Amino acid sequence: MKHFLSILLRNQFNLFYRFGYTYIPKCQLLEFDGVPNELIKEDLVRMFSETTPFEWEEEYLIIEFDKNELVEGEVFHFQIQDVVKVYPLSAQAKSSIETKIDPRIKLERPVFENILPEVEQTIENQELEKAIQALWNVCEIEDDLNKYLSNIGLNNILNGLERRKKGTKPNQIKDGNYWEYVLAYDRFDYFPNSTLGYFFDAGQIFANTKGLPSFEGSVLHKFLQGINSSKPEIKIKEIVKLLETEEQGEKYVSQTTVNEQLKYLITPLYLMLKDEIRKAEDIKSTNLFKHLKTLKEFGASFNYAIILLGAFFGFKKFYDAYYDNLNLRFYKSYQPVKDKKEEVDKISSDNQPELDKSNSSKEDASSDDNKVPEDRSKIDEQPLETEQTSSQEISDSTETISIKDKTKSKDQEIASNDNQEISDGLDRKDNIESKIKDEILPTDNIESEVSENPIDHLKKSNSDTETVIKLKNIINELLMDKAEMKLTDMGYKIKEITGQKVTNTIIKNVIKSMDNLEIVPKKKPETARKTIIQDLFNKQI
Amino acid sequence: MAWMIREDQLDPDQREFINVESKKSGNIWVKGFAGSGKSVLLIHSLKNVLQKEPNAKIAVVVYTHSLKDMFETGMKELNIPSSIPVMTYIEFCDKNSQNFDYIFCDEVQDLPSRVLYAMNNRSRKVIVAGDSNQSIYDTDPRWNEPVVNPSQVGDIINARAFSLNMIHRLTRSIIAAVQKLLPSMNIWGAKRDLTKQDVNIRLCEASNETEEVKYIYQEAQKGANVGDTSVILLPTLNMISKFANQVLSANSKPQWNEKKNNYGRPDFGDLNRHFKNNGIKIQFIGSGYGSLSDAERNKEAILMSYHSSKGLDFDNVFLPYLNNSFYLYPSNANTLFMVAMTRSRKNLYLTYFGYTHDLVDKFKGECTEISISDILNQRTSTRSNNNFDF
Repeated sequence: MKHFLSILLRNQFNLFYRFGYTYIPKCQLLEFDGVPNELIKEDLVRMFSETTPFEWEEEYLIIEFDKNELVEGEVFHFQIQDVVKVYPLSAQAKSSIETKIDPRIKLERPVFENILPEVEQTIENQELEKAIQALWNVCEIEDDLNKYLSNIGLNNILNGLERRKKGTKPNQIKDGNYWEYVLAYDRFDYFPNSTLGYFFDAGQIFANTKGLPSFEGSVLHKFLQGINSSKPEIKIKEIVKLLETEEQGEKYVSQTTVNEQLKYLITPLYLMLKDEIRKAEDIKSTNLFKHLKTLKEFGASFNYAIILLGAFFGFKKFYDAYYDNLNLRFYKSYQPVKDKKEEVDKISSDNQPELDKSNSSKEDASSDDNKVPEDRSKIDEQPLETEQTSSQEISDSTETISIKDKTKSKDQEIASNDNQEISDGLDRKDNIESKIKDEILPTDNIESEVSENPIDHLKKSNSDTETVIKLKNIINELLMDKAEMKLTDMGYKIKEITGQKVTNTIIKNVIKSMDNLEIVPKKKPETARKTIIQDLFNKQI
Repeated sequence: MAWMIREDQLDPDQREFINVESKKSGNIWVKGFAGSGKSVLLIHSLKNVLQKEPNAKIAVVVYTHSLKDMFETGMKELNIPSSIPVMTYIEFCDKNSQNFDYIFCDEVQDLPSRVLYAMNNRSRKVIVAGDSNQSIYDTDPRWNEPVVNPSQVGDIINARAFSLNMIHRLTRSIIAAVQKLLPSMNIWGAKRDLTKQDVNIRLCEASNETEEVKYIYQEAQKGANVGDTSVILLPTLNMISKFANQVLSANSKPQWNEKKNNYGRPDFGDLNRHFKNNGIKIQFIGSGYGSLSDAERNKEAILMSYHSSKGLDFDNVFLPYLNNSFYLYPSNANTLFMVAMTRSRKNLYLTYFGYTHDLVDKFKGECTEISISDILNQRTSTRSNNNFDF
């Protein structure tokens, strides 16, 4: 008789129980002598590291089977009567599962509970890295994440979170790294409930790193209290400026500055955004995203704060927003990329009738003007030239598409792998996409009819004014529930709605004429967003 | 409260309830601690019923008007028609001619048995939610009848129990303390969720009651001044009067001569006026007196009974007089104390002089111990003694 162990998801076990048989792949099966030992536990840890992670211990069971012989293969068939024992992962899991399963099932003592810390640590480490990468991506930070991450130190982050898990308060930490204190920190003192309050928090943390229970009595404390008395609603930039320029802040600033790490700024920035994200259901609705551009002006300090925020909240908090950015292929909102060639073909065929129509109207005009046949032949040649140009452009675009297809398979990897290439890959995708679209769109006939200043052209007649108004309305609608939108995507949407192709240049000029929208500066591909109201930002931070 | 939930956001208990348990026939009793998601699951279950049976006659029965408001908000958010009535248990009993296909009921542990019999008789299926561990009432206010005990809930409506064990509302420190106070409760926190603001449980020893009360008032004021909500909880009305006069005394203000209202109970409206006239920033709330928003607006700490605090959250919670002469009725002492200590979001102050009460001893290891004398007397010296270099 051979003995085996396998880890099964609870749902999988339920279906196994319901149908009376299941199939288990060879890699998820562990042969042993019937007595759990340390070696077996190591193998189980390995098996957990190679399977879908879990949040709750009760989501997996360890099943012990015995069977006289197994038919050689990659997948093995087990009957319900092959099950010998069912082990929950922990005592907590045992007591919870027992209330939900057939009461005849005997759950064993959780003899493998001691593998849990290692299994969970592996999952948590992955979670942490994914979370940081996701938030980095969602914030569209173009800098190299690894550089910033290594400056903070992944181990320091992990240690900080471990202290938090154990409920260690910063004033109980001995000789930790600065970032451990920051991550373990919660405010229990009565600091001002304003932006300035976060600088009090930072002062408190700094005191804790020096083994002091509080920073009350320090020059910094008195300085901040003075600011609080004279200007309680002071904004973050002003506070930083005062710290950097006034004598009372000098020693604190110099002791909390390590190269580009301005801890006196990173810490309050992180704590402030932490509070903001903590109370939000949807992170896209937070000030982090509403005022992303302004926050990015803090440069490296903002980047460090993002790493801490990612680590603190975990992937669970960001995966919604991140998945939106990934353009997942199984989402209803998926914008197909692999269909670019078809799209190009479609545009090509769409262009043809328009070109023909254009010819025909010109024909009509020439006819009306009694143009000589020579002139007609010239007119006939023109679409041919245009068509040739289009074909050339399409050919170029198709070439780009083959690159794009490769990028697409890369995207697939991105969706399933957490590597640093995520943001790079997406940027590459955006650039290629933009190139394709920008190359295709100028061939459309609206562009050819519009002067250098399309707005002026569109304003020439009432119907043109109506066109502009219509475009404005559509653009407003498109940006109604989005923070930003690429001009090329707008062009596609406008075509979907109106049936007409509109170039990026036209869209850009229409947006420039709108008070409530703006083109995001220095952003490629070109993107539009709602105008940021600086005053509102100042009020809120 | 977030009412819209998706399957990937549920814990295993909640998932099991939505996907399996709620679809089975028969009455159900959803048990779970505050913050385990009972009310949300109740509403989702209602929504599932409506999808299958759009014409089903459904009612929601709750304990208080504030719960009624809460349910109506949630149902609106989930696009559940407003034609489905949400009523208090008294309104339900008063409208005794109406029968239903489904009744959904929350806080069942606070109802007298007659309401459960009525629900069982007047509905094809009953789904109730509640936790007997949280029952802090002996009788109901309408009929003055005893509230149901745990075995009665299952028996009267013949319901099978379903437990929600994951607590999402409480912080790590509070869960650890509750686990030690009530080990039989089987509550677990979401252990990988480290994002919640933890609560600092401070066990504060004073050298006498005057010092204890002075410290509480001082800390509560500090909280109120930065916009925190601070509440001082006491188990009886007599202790509330005692605390009020000790605060007045510590601030050299005239004592409050307790007046009775028309029901022969203390007139706390008069106490509130006395506080205000003497510049004491405390407001009593409960029994129809005082207002939470008024207290918050005026930056006043709140004085309240353990019972009245149920269902409410505050940044800072103060539980005074927790020495060995502190008395709670033994029948529900642990539960009542647990309800009081789980009200805090940021700081929980357990204050005493002499020896700590047995209840506190159970989780003393989870507390940060503080000497009130040291704090009151050393504040200045702490500042000057520290050699700050920043």
